Amino acid sequence: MFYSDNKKQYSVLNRRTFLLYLLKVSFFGIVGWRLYDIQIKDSQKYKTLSKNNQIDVEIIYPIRGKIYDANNKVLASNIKVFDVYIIPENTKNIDKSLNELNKIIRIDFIDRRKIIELSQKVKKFEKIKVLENINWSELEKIEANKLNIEGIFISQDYMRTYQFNNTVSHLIGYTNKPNREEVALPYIANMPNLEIGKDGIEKSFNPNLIGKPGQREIEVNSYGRVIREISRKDSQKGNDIQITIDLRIQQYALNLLKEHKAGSAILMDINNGNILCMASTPSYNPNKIIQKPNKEYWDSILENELSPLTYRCIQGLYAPGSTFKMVVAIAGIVHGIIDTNTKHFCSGKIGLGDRLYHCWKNNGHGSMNVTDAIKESCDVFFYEISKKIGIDKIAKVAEDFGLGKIYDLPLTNQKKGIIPSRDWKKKKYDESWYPGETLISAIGQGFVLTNPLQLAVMTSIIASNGKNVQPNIIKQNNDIEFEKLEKYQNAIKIIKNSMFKVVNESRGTAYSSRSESAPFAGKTGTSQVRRITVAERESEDFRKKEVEWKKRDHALFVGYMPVKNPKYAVSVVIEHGGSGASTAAPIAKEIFQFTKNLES
Amino acid sequence: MEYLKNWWNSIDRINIILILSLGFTGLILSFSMDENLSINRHSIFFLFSIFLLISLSDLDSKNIRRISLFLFIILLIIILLILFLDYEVKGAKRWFQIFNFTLQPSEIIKPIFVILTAWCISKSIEDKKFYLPLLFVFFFLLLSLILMQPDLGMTVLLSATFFCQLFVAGLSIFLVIVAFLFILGISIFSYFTFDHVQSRINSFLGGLDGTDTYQIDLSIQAFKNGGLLGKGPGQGILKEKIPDANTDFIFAVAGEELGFIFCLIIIFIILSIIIRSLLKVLQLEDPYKIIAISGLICSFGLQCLINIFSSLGLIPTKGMTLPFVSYGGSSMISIAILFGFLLSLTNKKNEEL
Repeated sequence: MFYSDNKKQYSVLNRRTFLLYLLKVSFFGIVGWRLYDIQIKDSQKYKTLSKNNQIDVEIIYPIRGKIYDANNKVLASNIKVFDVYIIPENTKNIDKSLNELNKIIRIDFIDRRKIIELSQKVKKFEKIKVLENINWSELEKIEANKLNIEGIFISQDYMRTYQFNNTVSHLIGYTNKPNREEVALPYIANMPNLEIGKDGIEKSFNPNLIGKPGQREIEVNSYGRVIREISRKDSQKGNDIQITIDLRIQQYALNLLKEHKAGSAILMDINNGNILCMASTPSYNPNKIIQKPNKEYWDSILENELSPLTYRCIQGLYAPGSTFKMVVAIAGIVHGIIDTNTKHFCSGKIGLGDRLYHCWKNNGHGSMNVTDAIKESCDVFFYEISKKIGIDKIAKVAEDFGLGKIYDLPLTNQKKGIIPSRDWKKKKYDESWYPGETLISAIGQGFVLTNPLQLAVMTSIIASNGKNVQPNIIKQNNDIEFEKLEKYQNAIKIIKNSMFKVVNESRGTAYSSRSESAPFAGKTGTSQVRRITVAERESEDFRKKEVEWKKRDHALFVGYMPVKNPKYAVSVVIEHGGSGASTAAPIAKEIFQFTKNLES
Repeated sequence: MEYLKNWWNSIDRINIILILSLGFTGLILSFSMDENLSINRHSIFFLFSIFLLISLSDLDSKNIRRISLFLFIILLIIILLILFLDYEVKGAKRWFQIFNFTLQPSEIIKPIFVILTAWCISKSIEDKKFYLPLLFVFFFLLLSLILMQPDLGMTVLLSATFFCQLFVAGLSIFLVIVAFLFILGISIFSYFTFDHVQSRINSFLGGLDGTDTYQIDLSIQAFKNGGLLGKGPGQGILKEKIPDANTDFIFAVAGEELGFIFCLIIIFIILSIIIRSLLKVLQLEDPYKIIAISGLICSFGLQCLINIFSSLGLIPTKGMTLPFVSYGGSSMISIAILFGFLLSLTNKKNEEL
């Protein structure tokens, strides 16, 4: 590849070296030209009025985009607020000015002393902040008396505000000053005082909501006072965002939930996956977090043992209880282990190894087929069939129905939950799977954990005859078509018939919650938070006994409406609510009826 | 004393004066920036560099090759260790710490690799087939290690220098084009792979994704503020606004505080060093020396150009220092080694050998 002839090699070396150096020198020519261009030619325009003046670049902050609900109701926007400053050099007597101001809005004595102290330290033209975020009516009063108050200066600012306080707080989040790491993010670089989203949609959509900063070049004198503006590029407002939540349903659901200490309710449109309502209680008021001082409120949130910051819809994990039975039944039908005629006899308990596994009904249900077993929520039937199906096949079907998954949603900290399998237990505990654990899992207890949104998605997939429904929270313009899971068609048909009977036939567990105006189908669930002792079970009426709130069962209900051509799927979870039939199902009914009324 | 006299007689006197004056501009700037800590440190680094430079410039070619090979292997191991020990600073695994100095081994390996390259190429010109493949193996090993850190600026500089040396050695035009395409490929690859590279280039192209050209704007503003004679030492505001002003944007600080003329002086000194070396090279016949000197000068010149170009807003910011002027220990040691080698290669004492 090089030259063997020495002479030729030598001349190439010299020629090439020369070429290379020539190239480099010409590059420095460019430097010289550019330097002249900006430093000598261009700087004429920037010639300052006095030798001591500086040209400075100032950032103009953009206005944050708004957030709307599905019906264009504003959920988050910015209000104009006003900050009141005092400029020492513009008043003869700063004490008198503050006195006048104090007549309109009370200024704390300590604050006043601080302001006066500060005015003696800083430069005379420097603005000192007296009041922050005052509202319109206060501003009007000040404006009316402006002549009496010397040296006052009012500047306008924007403050984030949430129109419906705690109604959608978990979902939307709130804004605050960026922390040290966030300051380095490219879209907020150079705007250290920008308020940015800290949670929920506000956080996930920061890059869209923030907008673009503008800047202006100003000439300042040696004391830092602005002399003139040289150029100005205005900031660009952030983009607005519309979410799929219907505020009316959200408000209605939250009111129903408020009767209980903690819980959640989700309503989904099964045709496009849009989440219409995703309420969680207790919640917090983002406006109280934004308005300073907020320490008291913030402490009260952190000390609350129900943790209002937790978004139970996606962060609360519960044993799904009997709502998991649909998945087990589908697995049984798909794998040919049961059909509509398969019957098992429930005597109230079955034995496996040296343990007894009880049905919730101590006397037993008698002979049951799959439809009856779902309708009356017989545990023994599912113990029997799960022994034949095996845990791994159940886990596979559960995953096909959206359980044990994190969804592609702009919400942080979704909790994945657990769908147990042999592999999972081996990895997690390095132990092999016991047959008894299959039985417990088949009634949605034991290791199984799901969040309420996963249950809503599971119900949507069943209600839509096996469409792979994906939840969605941001309003889309184009229609979405989900892929259909063909192999579950037949099984789903049987299950939907059973879910209809749960609500609409006597002896169905949710029969007392049936609705004439908005007929729906569903499944109740009651999940234990502790093991029931033998002594308690023998005491006959242990379920009716008043037990301490924390030890009570969680109440669950999943369902869909209308029965024919379903449109909506619901999932209600009330923490320690007692039983799904008595606590969760009535809430689902109310939500369905309210939604139906909105349509007409 | 005798030693110094001998040294002075055999050294390329014009070049060492030029090099020292470049160092002094850096010293002036470090005092101008008026930050106690960095003055102390800068002066210490500077004195140490001068000492290092003088000792290296008195070595003969053989010893330089030996030292280079030895250091190359040691530094390669250190770079590997940093990568695998997960020691991160500013999102990159580049630095390692001894006492309270952080060293950047990839910076120091730069001049050393230039010498090794020149050695291998000159050997292969002598028809020893074994050396060229070996060189390429080392080159790609080093390059991939530095890309993993990740340090795009250094990657570009190393590969550009490497191909300049091959070019000088008489690489066929076809291969020159291939090499050019290779560098282009790496740049596009890093644009899509590394976030910080992407955000820098996007911001250069004018806020494609909401970012802005704030740093470059400020830098250009500083030049404008400076004008012909500058605001005077310590009067600039740029250094308060850009965190890396004393390294990446030192040229803008010079432009703001000491003005157009001072900037021209810096450029004049850099150019003189380059041209002086060219004149020396044109007198030489030994391919090893020609390729080595061209490589060293190429590395030096390119680094100056990249730094100055980015502070003038002509290319996206690269995070590269201005040799001998910017603050920073690793950069200073690296450039002292580079100039030490350069002076040794042009040392009259070594010509007779």
